Amino acid sequence: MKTRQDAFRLNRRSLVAGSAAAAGAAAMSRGPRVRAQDAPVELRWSMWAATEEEIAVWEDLAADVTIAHPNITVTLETTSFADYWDKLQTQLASGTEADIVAMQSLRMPVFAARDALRPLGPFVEADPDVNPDDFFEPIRNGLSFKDEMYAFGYDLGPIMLFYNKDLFEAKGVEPPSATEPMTWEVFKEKATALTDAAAGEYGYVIQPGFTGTIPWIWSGGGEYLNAEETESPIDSPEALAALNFVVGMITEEKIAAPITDLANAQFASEAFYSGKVGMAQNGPWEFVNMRSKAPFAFDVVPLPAGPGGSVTWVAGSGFGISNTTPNADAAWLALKVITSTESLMKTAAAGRGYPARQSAVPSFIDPAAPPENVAVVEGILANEMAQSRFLQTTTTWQETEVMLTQDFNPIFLGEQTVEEVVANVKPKFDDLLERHQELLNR
Amino acid sequence: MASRATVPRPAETPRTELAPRSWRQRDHETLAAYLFLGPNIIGFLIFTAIPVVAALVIAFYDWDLLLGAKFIGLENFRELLFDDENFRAAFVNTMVFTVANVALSVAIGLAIALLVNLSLRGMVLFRSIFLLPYVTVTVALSLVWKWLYLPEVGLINQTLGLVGIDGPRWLTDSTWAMPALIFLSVWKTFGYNMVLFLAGLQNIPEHLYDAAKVDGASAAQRFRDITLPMLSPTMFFVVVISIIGSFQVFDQALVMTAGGPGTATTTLVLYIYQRGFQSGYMGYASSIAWALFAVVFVFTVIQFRIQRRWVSYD
Repeated sequence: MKTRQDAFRLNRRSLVAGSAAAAGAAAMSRGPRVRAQDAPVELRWSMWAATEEEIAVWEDLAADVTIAHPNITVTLETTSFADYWDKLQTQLASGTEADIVAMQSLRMPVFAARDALRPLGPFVEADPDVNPDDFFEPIRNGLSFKDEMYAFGYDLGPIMLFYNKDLFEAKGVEPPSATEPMTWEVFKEKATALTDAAAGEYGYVIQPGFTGTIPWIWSGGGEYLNAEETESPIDSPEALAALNFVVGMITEEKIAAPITDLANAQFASEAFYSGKVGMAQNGPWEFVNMRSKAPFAFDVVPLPAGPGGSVTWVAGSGFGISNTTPNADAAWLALKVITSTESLMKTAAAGRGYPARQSAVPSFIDPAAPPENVAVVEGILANEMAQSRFLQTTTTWQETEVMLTQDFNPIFLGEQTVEEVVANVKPKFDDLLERHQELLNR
Repeated sequence: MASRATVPRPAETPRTELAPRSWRQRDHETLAAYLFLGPNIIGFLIFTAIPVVAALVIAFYDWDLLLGAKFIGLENFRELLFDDENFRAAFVNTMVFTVANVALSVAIGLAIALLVNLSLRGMVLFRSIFLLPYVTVTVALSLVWKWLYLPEVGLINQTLGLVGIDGPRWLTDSTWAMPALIFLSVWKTFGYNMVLFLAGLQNIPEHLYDAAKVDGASAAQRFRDITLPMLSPTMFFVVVISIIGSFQVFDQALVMTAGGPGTATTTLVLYIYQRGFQSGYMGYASSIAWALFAVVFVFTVIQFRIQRRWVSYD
C-alpha cells in the first residue's frame, strides 16, 4: 500500500510523468484555450480570514496579479475559517466555487478524493516558468493526493508553544528553553506557578477539540491513525495517558483555563490574547494576529517533551484551481503570482505564515518583530530540537473532525472520563476509516 | 309602436354593455390577485415546495455532497431509527426544548398580555419593550447572552453571586446548557405571543364582563369563564405556531453551544446541519428532515383534533 510518505519523495519529474496522461485529457476537457494574456478575465479567489490584517495581506496579492497580468482581475472572497469549509462544500456541490480555492493540507484528502480541484501536473509540465521543488517537501506532500499535486502552498508550520513573556516575568517563572524542550513535568510546574484562579490567570489554554490533542498523543508515545489508515489506535495506554495528562490540567489540577465556550473556534486564541494565560499552542501563521492583538511580549518554544519526546504536527495551506472553472489558464497565471517567491515573501514578512517556499524564508525572519525565537520554526521543521510529523488526515476527515470535536468536548469539561469517551469514539473512528478506504480505492 | 319603440329596454342594453365590462373587471381583479400572490407563490415554490419534494427523494439516496447520489431505499431511515444514538439524543433534546419553551412562552406571553392590556399611562411603551427581543436577530441575541451566561464574569452569575448563589457554568454544563437555551428562547418569543394575546383580548366584547360583574362574578371567575374561552382561538393559534417554531430551534444551539456539551443541546435542525453541511451527507440529512416533518405533522394533527374540545369560536 502506498503511503503518504511516498508522496514526500515526489519530485518534479515523477509529477510530470505521472500526470502526462491527465495532461492530455485536461487539455481537451478545458475546451477552447482562453488567451489569458489578452481577454479580460475576472477571477474569484476564496480564502478564510479572521482579521483585517490578514485580509489586507491577501488583497495586496490579488492586486499584484493585475499588475503582472493587466487583463486579469482577482476578487477576494473571505470567510471565517470555521465556516469556510461548509461554504466551500456547498459551493462545490452547486458549481459556484471560486476559480482559485484555498485549501488546507488537513482537508486536501477530503476534497481531492472528490475531484474538487484540478491536478496541477499538466500546468507544471506546460510551463517552464515554475519550480515546484522550491516548495518544502511537507507542504508538497500535504497538498498532494495519491501522488498528484493539487495546490501550491503559501505556508506551512509546526505547532509550537507560545508563551506570554510578560506574565512569566510578573510571576517570576523562568521562561522555557528555546532549544531544549522542557519535560511534561516541568511544563506542569510552570503552569502551576503561573496560575492564580482567583485572578482568572492560568498557565495554559487548549482549544476543546481533537487536533490540538494530537501533539500530546504523539509526545506521549501514542498514535491516532495506524500506518495503513485502517484503524485508530486512539485507545492505546499511551494515547489515553497523554489525553488524561492534558485534560487533567483543566479538570483536576485546574492550572489550565476552564473551557467556557464550545461554539467558538477562536476560544483558545482569544483567551491567550487576553494576557491572562501563560502558554498556548499554535502555528507560525498566528504571528500576524499575535503582533496586532496581544498586548504583551510573546515568544515561541518547542512543545514540552513527554515519554515519546517532543513531537508536533506540521500542516500548511495553499491554493488550487477549481475543477470546473472555465478560466483555468488565467487561474494558473494568477496562482503562480500569488504563490511566487515575491508573494510569499510578502505574506511571510507580514507574519501570515512560515513561507511554503524555501526561497522566501529569509523575509520571515524580522529581527525587529516578535517572536525572538523565530529560529524555533526552522529547527522543528528540520527535526533538530523537536520532531515534526506531517498531520495525516483522511478522505473522511471532515466528518471525523465534526464527530471528534463534539464527542471530545465532555472530557475538557470534566463531564466524562477520557476512557469513556475514547471507548465511544474508537468504533466510530474505525467506521469512518473503512469509508476512507472505500474512497481511496474509488 | 312609436310609444313602444320609445320605451327603453333597460334590461337588455345595459346587460350587453355591462357584461363585457364586468368580465374585464373580473379579469383585472384576477390579474391583480395573481400579481399580488405571485411573488409569494413563486418564492414558496422555489424555496419551499421544490426543496421539500427534492428532500423526500434525496432521503432515499446515499448522497455525499461532492460525489453524487446512490439509491439505497430505506437505509437512511433504518439507520436513523435503529442505529443512531445522536439522532435519539437530538430528538429527546428537541422534545424537551419544545415542551418547556411552548409552556413558558405561552404562559408568560398571556400573563404579560393581561398586564399590558390595562389602560394605564405608558402602556404602549411597555408593549414595545416586550416585543423588542422578538424582532431582534437570534444570532445577535445569542452572542450577547453568551456573555451574560459566562461562568465567572457573566452578568447572570455576578447577580446570583450578590444573593449568595454560586451560579453554574451554564453553557458548558450538560445539566444547565438546555435550560439556558430555553430561557433565552422564552425571553425572545414571549413578546410575540403577548401581541397575539393582546389582539385577542381586545376583541372580547366589554359587555360580557359588565354582565358578569352585575351577576357578581369575581375577577378569577371572569378570567376563567369569559377571558379564557373567548381567547381560545388565539390560544390555539399561538400554541400551534409555537410548537412548530420550537421544533425548528437552531440558531441558539449553533451559536451558543455548538450542540454541546457532547450532544446535550444538539437539536434536530442542528443535527441536520451537522450531517448535511458539515459532514456532507445530504441524503441522511434529508431523512432527518423528513423525520422532523413527521413529528411536527403528527403534533399538528393531534392539536387540530383536540381543539374541537376546547376552542370556541363564538
